[in-house]
Amino acid sequence: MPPVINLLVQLCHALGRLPALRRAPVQAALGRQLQQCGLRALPGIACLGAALGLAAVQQMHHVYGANVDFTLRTLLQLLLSELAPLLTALFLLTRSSSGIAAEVAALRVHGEWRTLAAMQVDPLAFVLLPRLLAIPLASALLTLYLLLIAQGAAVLYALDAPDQATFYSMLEPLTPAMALLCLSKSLLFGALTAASSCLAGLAAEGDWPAVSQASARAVLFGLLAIVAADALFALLPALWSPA
Amino acid sequence: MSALTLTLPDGGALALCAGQLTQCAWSPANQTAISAALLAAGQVTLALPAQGGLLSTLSVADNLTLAASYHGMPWAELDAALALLLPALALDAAAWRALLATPTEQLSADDRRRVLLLRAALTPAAAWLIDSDFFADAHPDLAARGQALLAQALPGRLAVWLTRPARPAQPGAEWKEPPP
Repeated sequence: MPPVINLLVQLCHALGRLPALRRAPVQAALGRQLQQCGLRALPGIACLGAALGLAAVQQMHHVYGANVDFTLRTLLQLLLSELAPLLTALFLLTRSSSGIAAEVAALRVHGEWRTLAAMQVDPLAFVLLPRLLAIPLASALLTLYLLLIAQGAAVLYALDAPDQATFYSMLEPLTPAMALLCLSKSLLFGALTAASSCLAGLAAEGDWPAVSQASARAVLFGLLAIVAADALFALLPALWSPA
Repeated sequence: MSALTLTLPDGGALALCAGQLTQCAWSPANQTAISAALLAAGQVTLALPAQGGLLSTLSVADNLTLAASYHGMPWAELDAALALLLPALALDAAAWRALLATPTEQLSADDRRRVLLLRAALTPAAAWLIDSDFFADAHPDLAARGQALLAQALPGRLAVWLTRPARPAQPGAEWKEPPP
C-alpha cells in the first residue's frame, strides 16, 4: 500500500476510535487540545476580527461611498460566505498546525509512539483522535467569534448612533443557508488543518530533522488543501446549476 | 497473567512467571521480541530503560498516571496509591510538588528514575521491562530504595531484567546486581 494511503487509513482508524472518548486520559487530551487550539487563540482572533472590521468599513466607504447600510450588509455577507471561515482556518493553520505536527513527529521519532503501544494505550485514540476532533470544533467556534468581533467592530466604527433600521438591513444576509455554509466551511477547513497536521507528523521517520520537516509540511499541505477546498466550494454551485 | 513463554530471536525460549524477575541478555532484538510478545498477549508493559521512557509532551503527573487511568483506575484510587508510594522513595511534600512542577524534558536523571519507578509500582498488573543500566549512575540511596520498591510491588507481575554486559567499575559507584 502506498505510504500516503497507509497514513490516510490510519487517520480513518483514529476517527473510528470514538468509543475511546470514554477513557479519562483521552478526554483530558481532548480538553488540552481545545484549550490549546481554541481558548488560547481567542486574543489573536479578536485582534484579527477587529482589524478586519475596521479595514473593511474604511475600504468600502472609500470605494463605494459612505453608505452604512450597504457596507454593513455586504460585510456580513462576505464574512459568512468567505472571510470568517477562511481567515480563521489560516489563523489556526499558522498558529497550531506546525506545533501539532511537531508533537506527533516527536512521538514517532523518539519511539514514544511505541512506548504508548507497549502500555496498551492506543496512540490513534490518545494522540490523533483528540487533535482530529478538537481542531474542527475550535475552527467552528473561532469562526463565530471572528464574525461577531469583525461585524461588531464595523458597526461601532460605521454607525454614529444606534439605528434599528440599519441593524435589520445588516442582518438580511443571515439566512439559514448562509449560516450552514459558514458552519460547514469552518468545520471542513478545520478538519483539513487537523488532517494535514496529523499526516505530516505521522509520516515523520528518522531523527530530529524529521520534526522540523513535518512542521513545514503540515503548514504547506494544510494551506493547499484549504485553498483547494475553498475553490471547490465556490465552483460547485456553478457546476451544478443548469447552463 | 500468571505466566508467559516466548521465543527469542536466537531461537531460545524465555519463560516468564508472575512474581519473578526473569533475567535475559540485553540486545535490541531481544528487547523488541519481548515487547512484541507482551503486547500481543495484551499485557500492559512499562519499560524502565537506561534513558528516556517518559512521554515528553505530557506533564510528570500525566506520565505517572496515564497507563493506570487509561485502563480504568479511578483518580481517587490513584491519588491514594501514590500517597502510599511517595515515602518509599523518600519524597516529602515539597520535593513532590517540585517534581510535579518540573517539565518532563527537564527532569534530572534521578527524578526521571523516580517517576518511572512510581509509575511502575502505581500501574496495577503491568509487566516490567527493566534495563540493567536503569540504576547505573543513580544515587546509591535512590538505587536501594528503587530496588526495594520494585521488590515490594513485584508479586503478581511479569518482569524481565535485561542484563547488559558489565560496565567498568567507576569510583564511588555502589552498584550491585539485584537478587535473581
